Amino acid sequence: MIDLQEPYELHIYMLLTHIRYIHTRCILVSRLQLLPTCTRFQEILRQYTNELRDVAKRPRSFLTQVLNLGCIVFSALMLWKGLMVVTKSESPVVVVLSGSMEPGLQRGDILFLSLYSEPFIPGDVVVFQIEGRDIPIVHRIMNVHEKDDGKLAVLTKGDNNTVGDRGLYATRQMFISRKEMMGRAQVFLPHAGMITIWLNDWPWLKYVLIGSMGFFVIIGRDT
Amino acid sequence: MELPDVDDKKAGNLYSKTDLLKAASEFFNDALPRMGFQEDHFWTNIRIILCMICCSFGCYAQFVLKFPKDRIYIGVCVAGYFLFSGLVAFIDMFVIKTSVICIKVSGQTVFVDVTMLPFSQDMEIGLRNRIGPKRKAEVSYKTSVGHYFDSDGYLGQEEILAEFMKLVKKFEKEHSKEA
Repeated sequence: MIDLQEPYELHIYMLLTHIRYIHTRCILVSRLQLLPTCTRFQEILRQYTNELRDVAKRPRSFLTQVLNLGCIVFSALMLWKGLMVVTKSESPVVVVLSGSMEPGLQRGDILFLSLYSEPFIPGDVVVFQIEGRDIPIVHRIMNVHEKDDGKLAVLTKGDNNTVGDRGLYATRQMFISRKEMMGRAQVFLPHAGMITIWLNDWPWLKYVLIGSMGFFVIIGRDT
Repeated sequence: MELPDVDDKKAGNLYSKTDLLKAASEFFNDALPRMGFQEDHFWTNIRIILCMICCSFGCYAQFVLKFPKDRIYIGVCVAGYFLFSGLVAFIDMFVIKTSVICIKVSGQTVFVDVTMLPFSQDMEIGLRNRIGPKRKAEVSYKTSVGHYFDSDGYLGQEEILAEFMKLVKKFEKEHSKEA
């Protein structure tokens, strides 16, 4: 409790009041400056919400828009499945994520793979995935051993690495087999896959892009 | 002519062809049924059914079939998907075109087209129909969008409806001549 009879306490009280006044003014000014931006953002949000509500009021139109969105999504998926069927590879298109194959293949290059019945030979650039590992590897075949029963034992190495890939294989695995092979690189597109790397590095970007595209298709702004 | 009770339609951006066409499309979809024009859902239903078949092929190939075991069946589903998707594209390109609603006028199925060419300020409203297997009647009216929208982006319902009713009368006259 401040006793305002004492002069120094009066000074402190006035100082505290002044500080409080300035603090309140600062908050008010900053909020007023943000107000036009917030208002505009709220207007846009209200507009899109109303558009979504209008679309939902017409069931036939809403169903048409949802099916349009479904067809767009499935077009991409079916294109991918079609490539899988034609190339016989489970992952017909991959992006190079590391620099282990430089200077031939750079980070961000897109590779088109195939898994036809031609034999694997040293020098082939192949993509393989070790069991238990999430990310496939793009490296070059160094040695191929084929047993009498047709089983394949392949040793790989990155062009930019000093040693073979045994350190990347599973514990006690000396070679990779045919079932770990995803495909042989046939064609590559330089730097065309950088966007995949960005989406990999910032996963939230994927959801924002796909979510906003889907939203605009639903409200009918897909032209 | 009595104006039906329809909410105000507003184009968010007067320079956006999409917004302008959307406002006009929503107006016709709300107003025409309330004015007594009977909607014909035949081609819309065909399109919905074809899209559902496409999505069924897609869902089956994506979620049920496994690669490489069912590679042939996946191929069949992919082919089926693109076949039906092609049919949908055919209907969109040659039948529905730029139609916003399909109604019955004088017992005939009529598509109401609302079109704006890119980088153009003109909006064209048209009525399109086929009479018999070979003959068709088509009437349209083109004018600046400023005739229909005010500076705030609100659609002038009376103006657009007046032009539409003139087109209907013209269409009925053309139809009676052809028939």
